Amino acid sequence: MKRVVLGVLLAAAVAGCDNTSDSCDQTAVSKRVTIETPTDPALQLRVSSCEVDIDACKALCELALERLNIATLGVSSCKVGFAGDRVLMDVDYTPSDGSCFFGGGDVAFANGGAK
Amino acid sequence: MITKRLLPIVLLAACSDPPTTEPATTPPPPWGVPVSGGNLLISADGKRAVAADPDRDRIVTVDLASGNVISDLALQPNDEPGRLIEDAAGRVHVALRRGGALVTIDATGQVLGRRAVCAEPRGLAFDSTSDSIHVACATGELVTFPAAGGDATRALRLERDLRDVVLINNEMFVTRFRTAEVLKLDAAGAVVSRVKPPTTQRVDFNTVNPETGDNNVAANPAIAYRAVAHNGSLVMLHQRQVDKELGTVETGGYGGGCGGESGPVEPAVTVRSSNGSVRAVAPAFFGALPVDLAVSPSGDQFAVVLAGSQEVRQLRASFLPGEDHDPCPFDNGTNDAGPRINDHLGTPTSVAFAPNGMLAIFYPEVPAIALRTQPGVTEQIITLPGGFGYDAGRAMFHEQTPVGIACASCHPEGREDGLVWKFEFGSRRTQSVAGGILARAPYHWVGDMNDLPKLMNDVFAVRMAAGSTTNSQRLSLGPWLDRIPAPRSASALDSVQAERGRALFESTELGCVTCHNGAQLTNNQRVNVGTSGNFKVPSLLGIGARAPFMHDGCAGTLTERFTKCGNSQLHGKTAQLDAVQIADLVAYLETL
Repeated sequence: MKRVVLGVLLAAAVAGCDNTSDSCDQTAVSKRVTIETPTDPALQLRVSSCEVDIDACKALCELALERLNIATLGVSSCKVGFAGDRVLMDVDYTPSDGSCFFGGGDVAFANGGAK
Repeated sequence: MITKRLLPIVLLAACSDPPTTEPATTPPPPWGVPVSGGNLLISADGKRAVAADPDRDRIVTVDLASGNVISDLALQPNDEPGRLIEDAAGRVHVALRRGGALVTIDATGQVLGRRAVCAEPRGLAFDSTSDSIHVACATGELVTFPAAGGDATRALRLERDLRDVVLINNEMFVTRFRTAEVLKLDAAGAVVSRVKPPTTQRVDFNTVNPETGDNNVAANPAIAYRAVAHNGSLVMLHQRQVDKELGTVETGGYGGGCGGESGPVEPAVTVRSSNGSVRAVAPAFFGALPVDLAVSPSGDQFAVVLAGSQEVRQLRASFLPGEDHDPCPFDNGTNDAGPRINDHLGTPTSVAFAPNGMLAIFYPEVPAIALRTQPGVTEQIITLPGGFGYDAGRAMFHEQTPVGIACASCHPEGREDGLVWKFEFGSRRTQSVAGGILARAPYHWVGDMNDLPKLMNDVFAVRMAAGSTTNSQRLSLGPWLDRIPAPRSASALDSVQAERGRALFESTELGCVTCHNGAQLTNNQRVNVGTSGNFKVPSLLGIGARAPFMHDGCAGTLTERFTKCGNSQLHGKTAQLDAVQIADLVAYLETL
C-alpha cells in the first residue's frame, strides 16, 4: 500500500518554508517534492541512481509524480538535492490535462509510499 | 519563468532546510556485466529462492516464507554466476560463466564444492537417472559431473556456441546461442539430429522484392537465450533477424517494419515437438531482449523477461499452438494472463515459478526478488544484499529504443549476433564490442567513427531513434564495454598443430602480423585486402567464436577465409598454403 503524506505533513517534514514555491500558469507547474530515505525499493533505486548520475534524476522526478498520481505531459526540469536522509526535488512539469488541478501545495513522501 | 524556476532553490537556501549535496556529474566506476538471463531458481519444495548475481559475483539464498536471507555467498571476482539447477538432494549447482567452474551449495547456501568445467560454462541440466549434472559450454564442451561431487565422468567436445542443455524423456538436447539450433544427442553424446527454427515472413514497407513485387522479407532465427522443457517438447525463446535493409541516415532508420515501431529484431518462440518437428509459434509478445523464460508447474502459464522494456509478461500457455503465419503481427496482449509487469525495479533478468504457481522475478540493480502469487499483483519485494548497482552505460546498452531494439539486441551479452545485415552501402557483419573496445578506435568496418560518443549518436540516437544521449551515457558506455572480455577458446585439440599454425601466422612470408599485431591483434588501420575497399583491420581476439568472417560475412568458417573468400595476396600472402597448412593456421586462430 502506498503511504503518501501530503500537504500538512510537509510542513513538519520540510520546515514549511516554501508554501509559495508552487506556481501555475495553465501550462506548467512547479512543485517541491520531498522523500525520506530509505524508501521503498523502486523509489530508492531512482534515488540512488540520481545520486550518482545527475542525468538519472529526471526518472526519479517522474516516478515521484507518478506516485502522487500526477499525470504529466513531461517533466521539463528536475533539480534534486540530498540532505541527509532527505531528498528534495524541485520539479517543473506540464499536467496532462493542461490545468493546475494538481498544482496545490508541496508534498512529501514518508517512506516513499512503500508497498 | 526564470523566477518560477529559481524560486524553489532560493527558498531552499533561505529556509531551515539543511544544506544539500547535488547529484554527481561524473559517473561512478563501471558496474555490472551484460545481461544474460536465467539467474534465478526456486527450490522444488518451494521454500527457497536462489539468485545468482553476476553483477556482484554472489549467490544469495532466500527463505521465501520469511523473506530473510539464508546465505550470501561471495564468489571470486569476475566469476559471473549464471544458470542454476537443483538436484534430487536439494543441492543447487551454479555455472560460473566466467569463472569456468561449477559451484555446488547446500540448502543453507554453504559451498559443498567447486569444480573446474571449461572456459565458458552456460547451460545446466540435472539427470535424475544417473544423478548427474550436465554442463554445456559456449566453448563447445559438454561435461558431466556426479551431482554429489567428484570429478567429471564424461567430457565431450561438440562445437562452439552451446547454450542450454535440456533433458526430455531421457533424451538430451543442447541449444546453440547464436544459431538457435537444437542438437539432439544419443546416449553416447553424438549429435544425431540438428534442427533450426523455421524462417518466417514479415512485411517491411520499406522493402520491395524485385522478383515478386511484394514487401515480404525473411525473419531468420537468431540468439536463443533460453530453452526449457514443456509437456515433452522443447520450448525455445529466441530472437529473429528481420532481413530488411537498415537505414543509416534518417532518424529511426533501423525501424519501419509493418509501419509501426517494429525493428529489425523481434522476440520469438519455437517449439520442437517430441516427433522432432519444429514449429514457429505465432508472436505472442514484442519487446527487446527476451532473456529468460519459465513455465509454471501446472504448465498453463509462461513468464518471459523482456529486459529491454524492463517488463515481464505472464502468458497463458494457450499461445503455444498458434502458428506463425501473420506477416504483420501485432502485440495486443491477448495472451497475457495479467497486466504487463513493470515493478520499476530496473531491468529484470530472470524469472522462476514456485510449485504453488507463485512467480518470482529477479531485478539485479536493486537487487531484489519480486514475488506475485496472482497475475497483476506484486505482493512482496525481497531486497537482497550487495547494495544498489548502477551504470549509465550498462543501462543504455540494454535500453529498448522506439524502434523496438536495444544495443544488446545485435550485441547480445556484449558480443555479436553472428549476423550479416543489409545497408544501402552493402552487407555488413555485426562487429563484436567485447575484448577491449577502447583500444580499437576508430569504429565500424570502414573506421568512420572516431570515437564511441560519435558512434552512439549515429547509431543509438539517430538510427535507433533514441533521440539523444546523455553526458553520463557518453562517459560511461566506453569504460563499461571495455571490461567485457573477448570470447575465450577451448584448449587446442592438437597443440602441436596449433603451434605450427602460430609459426605460419607470425612468419614474414605470410605477413599476418603486419596488420594483426599488438595486444588486440589489430593495428587499427584501414586496409584494402582485396574485398572491395578499405576496411578496418579487425581484432582477432576470440576470432574462433565469431563466425562468419570478413566485413560481409562471406566466409562461414575460418577455413573459408583462406579458400572461398579473402584469398587474394592482398590479405596476407596465403594463396600458396596447402590444406594442411590452412588447417594448422585455423587451429592456431581458434586459440586466440
